[in-house]
Amino acid sequence: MINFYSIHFIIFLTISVLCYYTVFRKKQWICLLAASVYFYYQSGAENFVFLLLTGLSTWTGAYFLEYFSGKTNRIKKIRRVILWSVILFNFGMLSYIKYADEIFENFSLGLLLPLGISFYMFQSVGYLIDIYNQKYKAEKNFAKYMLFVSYFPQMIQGPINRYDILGNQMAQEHRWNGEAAVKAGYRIAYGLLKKFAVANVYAGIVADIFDNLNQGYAGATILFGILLYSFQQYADFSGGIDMVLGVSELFGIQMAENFRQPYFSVSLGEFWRRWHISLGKWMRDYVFYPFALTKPMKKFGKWANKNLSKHMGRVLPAAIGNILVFFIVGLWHGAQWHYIIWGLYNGVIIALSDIMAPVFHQVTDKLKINVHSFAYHLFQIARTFLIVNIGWYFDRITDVKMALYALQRTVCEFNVQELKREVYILIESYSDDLILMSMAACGLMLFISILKERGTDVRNVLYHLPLPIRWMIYLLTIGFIVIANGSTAGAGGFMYANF
Amino acid sequence: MRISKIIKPLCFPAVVCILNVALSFLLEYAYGASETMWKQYYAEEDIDLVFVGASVCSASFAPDVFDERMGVHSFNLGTPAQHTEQSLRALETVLEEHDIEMVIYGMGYFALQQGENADAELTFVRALSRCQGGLKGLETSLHYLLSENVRDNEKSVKYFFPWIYNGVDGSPEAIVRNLADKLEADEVKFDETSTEHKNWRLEKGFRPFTGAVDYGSAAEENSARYYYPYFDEQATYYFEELLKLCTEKQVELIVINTPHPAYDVLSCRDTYGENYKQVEALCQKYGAEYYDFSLAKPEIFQPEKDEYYDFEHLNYKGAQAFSNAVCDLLERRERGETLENGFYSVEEFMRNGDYYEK
Repeated sequence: MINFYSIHFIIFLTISVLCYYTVFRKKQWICLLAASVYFYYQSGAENFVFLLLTGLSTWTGAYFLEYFSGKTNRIKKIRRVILWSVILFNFGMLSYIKYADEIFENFSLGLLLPLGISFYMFQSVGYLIDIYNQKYKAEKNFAKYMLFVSYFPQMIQGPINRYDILGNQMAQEHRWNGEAAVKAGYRIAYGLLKKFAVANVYAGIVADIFDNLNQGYAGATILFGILLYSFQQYADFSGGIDMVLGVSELFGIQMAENFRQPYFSVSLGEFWRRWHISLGKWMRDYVFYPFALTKPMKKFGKWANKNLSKHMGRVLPAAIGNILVFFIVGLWHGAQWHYIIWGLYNGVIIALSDIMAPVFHQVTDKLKINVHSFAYHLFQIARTFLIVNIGWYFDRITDVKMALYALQRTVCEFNVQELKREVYILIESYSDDLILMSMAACGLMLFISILKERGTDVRNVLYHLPLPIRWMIYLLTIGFIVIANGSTAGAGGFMYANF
Repeated sequence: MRISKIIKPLCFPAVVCILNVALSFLLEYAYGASETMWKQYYAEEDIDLVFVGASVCSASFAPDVFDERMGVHSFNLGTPAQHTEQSLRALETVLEEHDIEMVIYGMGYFALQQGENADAELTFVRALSRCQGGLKGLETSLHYLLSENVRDNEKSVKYFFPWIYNGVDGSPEAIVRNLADKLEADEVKFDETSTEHKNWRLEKGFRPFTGAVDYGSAAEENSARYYYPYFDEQATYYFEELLKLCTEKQVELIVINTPHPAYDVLSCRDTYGENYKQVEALCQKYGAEYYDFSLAKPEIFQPEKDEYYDFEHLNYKGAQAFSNAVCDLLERRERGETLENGFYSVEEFMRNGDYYEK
């Protein structure tokens, strides 16, 4: 697989961009398709089989869904059969590849997970459902459709794009724009900084704690590890997304945003609308709404409205939908109990917070808390951060018993005196400069997040700074990236590339 | 207008390149182990015997001793943390440029137990490329950077920033000292009695250590602590490739484990025998001879206690004695004497009480 921070990728990207804006200027999509095929080929020729099967099945399915466009019951039935056949075929294939090793020892093909399979499959099935719902016209050109499925920047860890947004951009002609290219460069550099100066530095420390929990770390050290994991995971995933979005911008193509300062969320529900946004939206549009609008759920809502309360009639079907969605999200991460528990934890908390909302309102009213004050806003952010971090125990620690043990130690055996000694041992092999650099990078991440939260277009501000200041910032960033990468060996690829 | 449109975007990358060159000049080691070795290598005209391997090789085989006693032109290609892949590359380069009659692979028992060290590898390739210079040097760099194992790896970018992986620490004193070394081009004079760890590199690639091991630290400082107990797949693969290369080129190859103090061998007693058998089997497969000097009987080699620098390296005095012992061995071999009796088997060694005296 081509690593984004490698000579191969730099050469590949340079040639692709040059060809895109010169020899392929009138047929840019062909250049992108060729680049995507080459990129994917580097991950293993055998992976093409799955990519082609998904592309061919969803493209053909969409073609026939459009062909059978009448309103008769027979036509409706045929359309439903086509839709479900293609969905089951694709998700059956995905489930088999992802879960056979975990579940059926004797029926496993021993396949490695093909690069980006979850992401391109969700994207293709989303397209199929949109065509079923007659949201837009199906793509007639198979090659153009395959570009949508295999577009190389999205193949490592998403985002999960929509055809009506991405496909249309791919069909347009794009002219070189120096300012846009420089801003794309900012985004790539910021992603690299997050990945190398934060995620890769913390990855080793986090692994040392959670892969050796039986050494009896103090609760304070475990909490320290979870907090580092929060930073590591955010920096790794959002850093990777910044890189791929920046790379796509070099071709004049805007992919879907995947993060919007998630740690500034005031509720868990909001957190999931700011974290892995494209997956959340996919789940909302293709699982949550269709489920909530099924006849049994509508009936259940009416029943609750009549027998319980108006509020319950509104939130109970949504609560069940949320639990279902997060169960699927947990399962999507892996067929392991810790992921399923992590998914259900999120679903249940969101469901309960919706159900209990009137009680919370009564409490704040009784206590005369100004819910619009800044202090209350900070309290909500801190509360959400705490809830999210409890969930991370089950996400990071692969054994449920050990996750519960870690939680128990955090609460009952905090032992803050041990923190200094244990952390000192954990970071002993890291240079002081590297630790300081990673802390500075975290500070920068926080600063940029605050600016973005306030609506500042950070890239635009940077672009219009005086040249000496701008260049100084560029050089410092490049220095940070180069030094951090040079000092952390073997931290591996992106965490979300595994899904 | 059009020219400025092209030049403008190139200004910033140009500044980055200039800064990188300046930082490399300031921070990259003046007398890096790899660079000095390759410089000395390209200064030699005739070479017919080479030693390859990691620091145990560069510190143990004194080419002057071999040249004097055997009438050969030998050279030590050892560099710190040299992976078997680099040993193979070094050997390929040398076999292409000289008529080599014999290769001695100075193994250090743990050569096959260490994974790649990216910094050592990058330093090694960059030094080779720089010393070759011109088109040949460029070809070496490109061949390395575009090779299957490197082109998709982060180290392919790191390669261009030598001050990161082969630089002095960032303290002002270290930078000033390094700069002075570079500008004066005056190498530190070798002092056998020095106890300070210095980056000595004598003639013909020999890189001895000075000072002696502290036997009081044996419990903490030993191979069992620093090395993974089992063989690394990649290291073993390239070792086999090295054996194959010598067979194909019909060059005589002798694999020699440089001596370790007995306490160090004992620190790995659980895996020593099994690992020994694996190396022996590989050598036999390709017709190479294999001698483990940690298992040598006194009539072959008996180092004094003050001849070790640490748990795995000999010091200058030890290297002289060891080089003479290897010359003795080669002479006896030349005379057709049986050499197997000069070494304990692993089992004998572990049983034998007198190893405590070694």
